Amino acid sequence: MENKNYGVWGGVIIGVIVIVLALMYLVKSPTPPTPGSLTLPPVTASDWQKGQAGTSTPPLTLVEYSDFQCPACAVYYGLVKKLEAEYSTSTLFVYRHFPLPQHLDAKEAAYATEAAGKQGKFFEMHDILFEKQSEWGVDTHILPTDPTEITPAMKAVLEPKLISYAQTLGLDMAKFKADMASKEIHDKIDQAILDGRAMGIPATPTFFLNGKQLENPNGYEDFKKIFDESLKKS
Amino acid sequence: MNLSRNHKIVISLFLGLAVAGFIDATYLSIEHYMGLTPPCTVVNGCEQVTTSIYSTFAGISVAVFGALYYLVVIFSCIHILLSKRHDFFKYVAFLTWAGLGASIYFTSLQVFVIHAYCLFCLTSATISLLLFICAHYLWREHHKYKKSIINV
Repeated sequence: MENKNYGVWGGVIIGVIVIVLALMYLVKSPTPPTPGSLTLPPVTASDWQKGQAGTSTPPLTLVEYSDFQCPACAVYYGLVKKLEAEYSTSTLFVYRHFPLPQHLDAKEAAYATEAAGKQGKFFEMHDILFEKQSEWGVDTHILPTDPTEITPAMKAVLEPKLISYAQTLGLDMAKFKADMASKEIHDKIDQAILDGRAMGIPATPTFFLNGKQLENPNGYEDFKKIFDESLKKS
Repeated sequence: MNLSRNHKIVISLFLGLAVAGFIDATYLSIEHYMGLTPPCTVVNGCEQVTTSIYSTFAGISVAVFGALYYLVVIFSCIHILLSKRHDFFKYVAFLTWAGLGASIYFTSLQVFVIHAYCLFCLTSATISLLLFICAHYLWREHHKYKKSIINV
């Protein structure tokens, strides 16, 4: 009996060691997708883009997959804004929507930018939303896991803020509200989410420079270094 | 003690959950010490949670304490099965209070302080809750059995 118990305890200890070693091996192994492994669909005229004044084929193209309610995206917004000021003549900056499902306000915010875009003010609305994220992006509207859609009560809190931003941009409010609610814009955002998922976008923001996925740089100087090196190569 | 079918199922479930908890906590510990963060995919916040000031205690990753807790639970359960000392479930039930308390504390931190969520941490919290329920069920069953013997 005693010997049998020793056998069981030996098995248990070996089992524990095997679990730990297997986990160490799995964590060490590269797990796809690694930065640089995603394939970026080409930039087209339907993408929201700015910068690159002067040349028809810019040396650099930065594509960002982002979410207006994502705190990290708001931090990177400041960095990209500085890059836009410094590299506007050499770089095309492209914004693609990837609102995450746990950010319940993010899709509505994306609708607002698209509706503003219908009146030529996409990037103006984009800038306001990131700059005032703490004002409209309510913490309780961020859920831990794949959640439901935004509720009417949540919308009632959010919409007046989006409308006030549209007013400050001097938009035609009747058209803005109609566009915000339009199936065309809702479908466009849904399609953007599906496209991002199909690509395997792992998180927001995700950047691509000249088609190659970047590891998110640590601060402006890091970003600038990547840009300068890429410009030298191009 | 002759175990009922339900009793056997709950013991198996209890052991399985403890092993799952051990794997989860060990994975988080390894990620922590390798300077990595668990893949978040569409869930935002893993990095924020696992790198927050609350992720360590006395310089040691809290996931390590979690892994040790599950290991103690596993060893206790196996000891009970081998020695047939089902009265020991009383002590295991006490032990699961610690797991449950820690889970409530860490989940509250995610919800009210960090405002970010880590799925692996939430999984561990769920496992701790289930272990707590199972341990108390097993203790109660043993208590009922003892009473029935005395009454006979």
